[in-house]
Amino acid sequence: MGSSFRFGDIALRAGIRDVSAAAALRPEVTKVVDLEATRTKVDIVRGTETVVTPVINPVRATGILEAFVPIRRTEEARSVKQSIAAGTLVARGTAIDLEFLAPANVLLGLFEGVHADLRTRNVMTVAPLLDDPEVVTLVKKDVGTLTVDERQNLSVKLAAQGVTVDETNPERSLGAAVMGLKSAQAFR
Amino acid sequence: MELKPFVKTLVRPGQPLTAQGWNDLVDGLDAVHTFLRATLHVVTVRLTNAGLDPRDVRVTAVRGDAAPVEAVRPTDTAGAHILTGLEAGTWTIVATAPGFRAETANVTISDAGATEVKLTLEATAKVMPELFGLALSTALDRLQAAGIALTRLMDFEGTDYAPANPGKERLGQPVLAQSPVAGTLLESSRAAGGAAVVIAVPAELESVVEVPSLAGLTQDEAKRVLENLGLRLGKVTVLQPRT
Repeated sequence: MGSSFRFGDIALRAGIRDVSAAAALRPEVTKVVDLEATRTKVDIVRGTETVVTPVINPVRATGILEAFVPIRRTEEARSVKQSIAAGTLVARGTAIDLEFLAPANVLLGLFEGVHADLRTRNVMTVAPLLDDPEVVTLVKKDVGTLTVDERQNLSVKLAAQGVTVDETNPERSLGAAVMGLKSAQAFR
Repeated sequence: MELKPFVKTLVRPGQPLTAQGWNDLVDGLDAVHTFLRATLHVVTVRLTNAGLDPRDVRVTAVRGDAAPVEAVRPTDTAGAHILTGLEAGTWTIVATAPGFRAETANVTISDAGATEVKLTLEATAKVMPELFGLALSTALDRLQAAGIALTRLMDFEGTDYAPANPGKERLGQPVLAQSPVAGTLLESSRAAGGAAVVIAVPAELESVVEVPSLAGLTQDEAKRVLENLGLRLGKVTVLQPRT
């Protein structure tokens, strides 16, 4: 069964030193908080064993964690496989299992219709191309609508990155190269 | 009117016709004339019960010294029963219908003409209404109006529901079967047993969504996308190269 406290009591228990300042932020109202008699405990399973979560020392943790920075979004693991294929109709509430890979491990050969020269490259290696505003603009367009000059420019930039465009070979066409770049964009 | 026996009295040639004989002859003709005119009398019997189909009512004219005469039934619910060919005299008109107490009225026929009789039958049983296809809420109203309790309610899968509280989601479901059948007369003892109806199984439309491609999304992004679609992120596995 819980107990009742006034707001000031809660502020003290929460470690708020300046109760008056805290109270000034809120209108004077009496709030009744129902506190559980037992502490919340989290049990986790490691292997077959149930273990309790360790208590972190906040002082030492601050010092240790200062040596780290948040992982960059471009380095965060990305979804590369899902338990239910895209396009499948499922009931609401269905759980989808996902498998993730770090972008550095995502080879472009994972995707459909990608230029042969790009298949063994990971998505990070085409970053120079995707950082080029002209390339980004051209990749947004439908390949069929590109002018001769645009196709030429894009082919030159691709060649500089080791991607040879050969329109006589569907696996090495400009369209296949653009497809590879579009796929890589999702991992930026 | 009783048709008196006819006494055949012949007059031989040269024999005088007495005043008595002549009067007997005139009286006889008058009796025949009256009899024939009475048969032209039309008795119209109208039933005043609301909701009672007169076509289900049998109307007869009876009297002790004559065979009963059945009225011609109406062809529609607004029509009346017609009695013709009644002999002159007093007749008792009797109207009977299943589930109703017989009602009578006396009419005296003396001449050609028309008589209208109005009868109201007293119900002795309850009539099961037609419920097929009605929404359950409407069916319940019809049963209540008929004075018949709903004692059992189930759906087509055999699941029983409380007749008094079937649940809001079932009130709109159509009635697919009923017991007893529509038109069944429920005498008081049987009416107490109530009625049972079967409704359609409430449709439970399962909302479906199309699974999107999640390729290239971070875990947070994938979780947000799935939750926005009403899906859940299940088991997450982060792969690494084999060592």
